[in-house]
Amino acid sequence: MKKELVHFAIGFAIFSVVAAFLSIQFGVLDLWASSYTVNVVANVVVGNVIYISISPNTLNFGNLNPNSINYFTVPNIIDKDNGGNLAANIFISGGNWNYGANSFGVSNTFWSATSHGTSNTALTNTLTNTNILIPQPNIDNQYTQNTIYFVEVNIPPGTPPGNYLQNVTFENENPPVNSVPVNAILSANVQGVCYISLNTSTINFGTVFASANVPTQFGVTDYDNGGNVAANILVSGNNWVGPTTTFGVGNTLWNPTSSTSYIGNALTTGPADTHIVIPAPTQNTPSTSNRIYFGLAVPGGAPSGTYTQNIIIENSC
Amino acid sequence: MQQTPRIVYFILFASFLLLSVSGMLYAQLGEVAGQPFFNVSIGSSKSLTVTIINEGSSPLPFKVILPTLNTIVNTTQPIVTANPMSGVIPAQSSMAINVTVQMPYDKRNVGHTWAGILQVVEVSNATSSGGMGAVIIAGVAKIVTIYASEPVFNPIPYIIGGIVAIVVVAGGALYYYYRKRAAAKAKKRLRAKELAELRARARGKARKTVKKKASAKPKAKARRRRAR
Repeated sequence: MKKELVHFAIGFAIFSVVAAFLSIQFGVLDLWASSYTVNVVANVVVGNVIYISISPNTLNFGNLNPNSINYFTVPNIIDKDNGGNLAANIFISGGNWNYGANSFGVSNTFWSATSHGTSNTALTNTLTNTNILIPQPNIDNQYTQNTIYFVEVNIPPGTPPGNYLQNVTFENENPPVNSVPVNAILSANVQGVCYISLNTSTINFGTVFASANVPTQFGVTDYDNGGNVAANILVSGNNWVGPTTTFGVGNTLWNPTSSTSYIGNALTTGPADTHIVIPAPTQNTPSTSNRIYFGLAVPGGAPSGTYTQNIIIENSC
Repeated sequence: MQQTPRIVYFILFASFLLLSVSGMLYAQLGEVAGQPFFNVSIGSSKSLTVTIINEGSSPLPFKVILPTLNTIVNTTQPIVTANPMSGVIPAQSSMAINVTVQMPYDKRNVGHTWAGILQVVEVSNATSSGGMGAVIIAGVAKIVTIYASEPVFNPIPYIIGGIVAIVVVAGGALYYYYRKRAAAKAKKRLRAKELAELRARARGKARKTVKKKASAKPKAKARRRRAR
């Protein structure tokens, strides 16, 4: 038994030496090699992902007037998926337009999928699906994009002047997969503006006899509908023109208050500052107004007939 | 009972519709706030823009009335112009009016201020009906203030003048130099020619003398022989 063990050991040793020799000879075992190639089977799970990058991330709508509807064709934001692997819709939401303590509503901004803005949708403060699709990136086309147009910005009446900013949040979504949200800033400079709108285009003093007058009580209301700064009323006129003769512009009097007498300031051909102020409209009081009153005296000897005069009422701010 | 013809209803409806539409259409003139201030150097001009707005839903024809400036004795009044002087502002839009002030070059103007009111008024087609009637026209106004300042030093005319002077002086100097050089060259050439002629003449004389001498020798010999 001992002898057999010895033979087995010798045989195993010879076999090992021969096997090692053959392994070295045929490159299976390279004792002098600096590296060895080992095959390992690796597993990876590629997850669904949506990326987002927007350009530009600021849009400026320039100078806008209060009480105005402004349409645009150019301003747009390109939303890109750089290297994701899912198609996604652009979702957006926004905040109010703010300038210091002043603000106006988010829904004054309108977006569209086309630059023509045929179907404009108001921005809201909740994340909304625009249904603007960013195609699925693939190995051959890893970067896909689409464009959203900001086609309309309305400035409410009485919005105080200032450089207003609005934050718009973008997110690309293919539920349940979402991109991280990113923000763009829209800006618009609301200019100081005063408007004028008169309640009448004529005053009829009726029939007035020569050397007679009518009291300064024919009022004209001057409105500022939707402006945002106070205005002074200036007034001027021209001579009364009759069928055969004229008489002076100064026969018309103007007055800040109504009177039962013919009293006031003589109308002049050059504009006069009446110091009548139309207060600045505000968002709560978008229309402000004031009144100016006119009276007339017809000079003695004025031939009978129909006389006319132009009175110019101007707002200055 | 006689029935009202359909045409009457149609006319009534059309009139109502027209009145409704004309009621909805309105023009509302406005202006961007701020009064223009012109600081103009004498002998120059300056332009600013006045923006007028039509926030209404129908086009608004307008005209500009230029300001009548206050008079200041012993000065030359600035000239105010505007462009355009009239036009139509489309609905829901604005228009820029370019106002230019030209300040005459009158040193007495420096430090003086003028003011006037620039008016932009609607062109109204309203008419008064019967009796004493006034047509009321809406407008916006800008109080234009103009200040005359010292002329601004402009180095460009001086630089141009300097360059012209340098060119003239350098040109004159070069002309003088080349003219003198050409005269000297011509003189030199003449002198060389004269010298050459003198030399040639001198050479001719010498030859004649040698010939004379040469011809004189046999004659003398013959004379001597005859004398013997």
